[in-house]
Amino acid sequence: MLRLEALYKQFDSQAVLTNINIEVHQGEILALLGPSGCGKTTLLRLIAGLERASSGKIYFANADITEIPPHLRQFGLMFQDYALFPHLNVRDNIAFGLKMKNVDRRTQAQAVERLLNLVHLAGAGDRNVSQLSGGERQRVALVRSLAPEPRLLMLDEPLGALDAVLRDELLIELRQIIKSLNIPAVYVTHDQREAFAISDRCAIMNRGRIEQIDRPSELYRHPATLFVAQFLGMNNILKRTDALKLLGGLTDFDAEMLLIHPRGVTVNATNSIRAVIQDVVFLGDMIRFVVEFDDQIRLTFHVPSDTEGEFAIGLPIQLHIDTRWIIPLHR
Amino acid sequence: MRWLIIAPLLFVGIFYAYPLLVIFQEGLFCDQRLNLEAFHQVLTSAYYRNTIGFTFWQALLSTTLTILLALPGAYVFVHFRFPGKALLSALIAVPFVMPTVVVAAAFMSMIGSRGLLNMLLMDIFKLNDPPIQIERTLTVILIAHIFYNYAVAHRILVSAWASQSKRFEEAASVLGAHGWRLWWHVRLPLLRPAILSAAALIFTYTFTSFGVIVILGGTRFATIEVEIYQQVTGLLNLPVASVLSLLQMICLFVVLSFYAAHQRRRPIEMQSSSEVLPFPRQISESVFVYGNLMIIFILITAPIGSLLARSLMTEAGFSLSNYLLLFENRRGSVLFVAPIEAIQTSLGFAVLAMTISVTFGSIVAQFLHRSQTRLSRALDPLIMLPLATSAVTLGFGYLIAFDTPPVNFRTSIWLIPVIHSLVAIPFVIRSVLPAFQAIQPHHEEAARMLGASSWKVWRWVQLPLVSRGLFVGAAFAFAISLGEFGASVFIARPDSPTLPIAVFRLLGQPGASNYGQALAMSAILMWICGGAFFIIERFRKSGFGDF
Repeated sequence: MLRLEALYKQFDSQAVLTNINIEVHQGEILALLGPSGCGKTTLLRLIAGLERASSGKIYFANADITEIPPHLRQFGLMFQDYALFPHLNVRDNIAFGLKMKNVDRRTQAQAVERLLNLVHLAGAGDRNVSQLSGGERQRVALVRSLAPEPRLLMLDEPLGALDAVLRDELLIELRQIIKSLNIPAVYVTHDQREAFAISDRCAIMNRGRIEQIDRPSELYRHPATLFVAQFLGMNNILKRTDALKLLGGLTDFDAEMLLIHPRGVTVNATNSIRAVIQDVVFLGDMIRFVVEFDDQIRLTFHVPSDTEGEFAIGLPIQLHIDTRWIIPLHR
Repeated sequence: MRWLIIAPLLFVGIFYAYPLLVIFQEGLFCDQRLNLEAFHQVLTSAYYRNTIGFTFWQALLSTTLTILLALPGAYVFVHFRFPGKALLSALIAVPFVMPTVVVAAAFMSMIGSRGLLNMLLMDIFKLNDPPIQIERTLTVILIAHIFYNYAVAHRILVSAWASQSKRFEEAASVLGAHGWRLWWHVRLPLLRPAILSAAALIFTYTFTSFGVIVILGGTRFATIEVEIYQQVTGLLNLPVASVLSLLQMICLFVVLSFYAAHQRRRPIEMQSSSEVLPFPRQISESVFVYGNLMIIFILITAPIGSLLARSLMTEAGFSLSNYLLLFENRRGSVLFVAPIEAIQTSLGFAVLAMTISVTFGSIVAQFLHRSQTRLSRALDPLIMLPLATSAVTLGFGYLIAFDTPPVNFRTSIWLIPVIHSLVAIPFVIRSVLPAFQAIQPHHEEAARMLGASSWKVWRWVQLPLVSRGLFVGAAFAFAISLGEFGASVFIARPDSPTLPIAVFRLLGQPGASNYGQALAMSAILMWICGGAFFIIERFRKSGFGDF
């Protein structure tokens, strides 16, 4: 459906986006994940048509839309600050897009009622947007962007302004609603958990480039670059020489950096290495512990919390590192 | 849309810059050659030096007295809660939109020789002559100036004071500052920028005071402004009038640059104003608070009230006859027309001036908001320049600039709404610009994403969001046009006077019926401007249109 080909964007001769190639399919949710300033919002604005690409092409349903102005693209965009119109009430905010399409009033009213029901805000149509809570605003902003039945939905940190509890609740609701529309969606966030929870595929961005684009489970299992591994919170990164010292003969990895995946250990198995526990954190499902090996190499591992054995600071432990969880990282 | 900015620029160029240029030429050149004779004449003559000295002196006095009176009042408003606060707060601002002739007429009706107070005293003590002889004194001028400018000082001081963090005072008292030391070392220094900017503004207003002085001061007191008027209309000495205008412009420029410099400073620390203020507790506190409120209340309501009351009085007691006389066109009247026609004329001009200034003002505001070019940065102070030019100077400029071919429309009725809108444009811009700035770029983008074309974005998002600001600007422009006196007096045709000019002419005539009619017209003018003020207050979010 949506295809980005070799997109470049510069601001004042400073490259903001470099060689972006992405395809988003019908009914698919793609998350753009990355730290602030990585270019994810700019990319979203390029897709929306609010910014123009310096070079490259944007296609939708095989039509070149690179030069089409935003109001003719029929895309929906939900802003981080929601951008609800302060001079309109909830109903008129939602109906705005329909009014721009010159939809007749009755159809407008019906659509608004249906959408308000969809997000459990029935009866809130007459309220002023300033009277809404954060979660209510978020839902009004969502259905406002859905009302004109966009061909593609974009969401820019839609849960960014909400507290954690509300976030988890709305995340599930959001995914269900987007999925039911069967349109492609692009979801921008800096929160890894959020991106993994909502997306079918996830593009991790860094300094205007896409580092890796894959299903969340694959990203977690096989981070491709140093940046991706670190961004996903995996810090067991060893130079190849250090890894060789620790594990013995490892010849089939060509990368300079290796990630020892935190899930990649078995406790008290055969062919194991001795280490000393430095720190233990009980996380519920998981136990996270830090160990130090002979060569002063410190690594962090996660094991299921029902793992046999005693985890206490200062105790020695026998660990087997599974080579299938040793992942080469590229720069 | 961007090229639209040319229209207001052209307007200001023709109707503001050109007349000033002509004044410049008139004062400094004679037959295309530099001629400083008029300059020399003004600067060496004791008479003109006295005039200039008096202008400074009365402006300084008025400013000092207003600030001194407003400081304790502002303190009371910022630190205490009392019943009727919101009402009094709105009431304080009323004089600001009152035309100068109304203010002058109101004070005449209160303490003038034919005023309410004198009538009362003569009645009680069976006197033949009015006991209070305050007309044509400096005192009455100063009182009127205080009445007029109290609002300016009050607003600036209160908003600066209320936004100041209480923690400074608390920190100071913990460190041992108390009583006068708290005032001297903490409160006043923190307030200094606000005091200075209020003072600069009041100084400007009183320095160019015209209506109040020409009506209440008579011929005994002349400010530069009054002197220009007399030189032009009485003596036809245009070079001297030009030199006086130039000198005045230089003075105003200095004062207003000073104001601008202090305006730019932001408050040091803002505090949320959600805090609940206490009622006055001890007796001394109550005396202080309610005493101050009493002074404010009397200062504002007494002139207004006596104007209303006195306009209903005739020698035969209370009646509407002063108002009914307005419909008659008597022979030998100074107005040549029935006074009621002046009201119609003025309302027509006001609608025109409002339309022109709102159109141009919003074009400029949109331009200033949209573009961040060097042009727009230069434009911001430039467009405010009419504020720094006195109305009399502008009117005088029109008189000499537009009376020679190729631009001979001095007798054109159009010049009046044009000059009014020029005076009003800075106020319109200041009212509309904050509304434009309150629109987030995301609002426009959200509308675009929802399928709105640029025109629809303007129609359905921008326009509704700035409409409040436009209302406020329009009401300001309307009130300003209705009350404008200093400029109109030069260019109004004798047979189509505006309301303030009609009041002025009637007040200058002997006879009880002229006096009564003048008061009746002033009262009508006051009601209309009060209505405009009501609209301004209704739609003004805090911070809008503050001057």
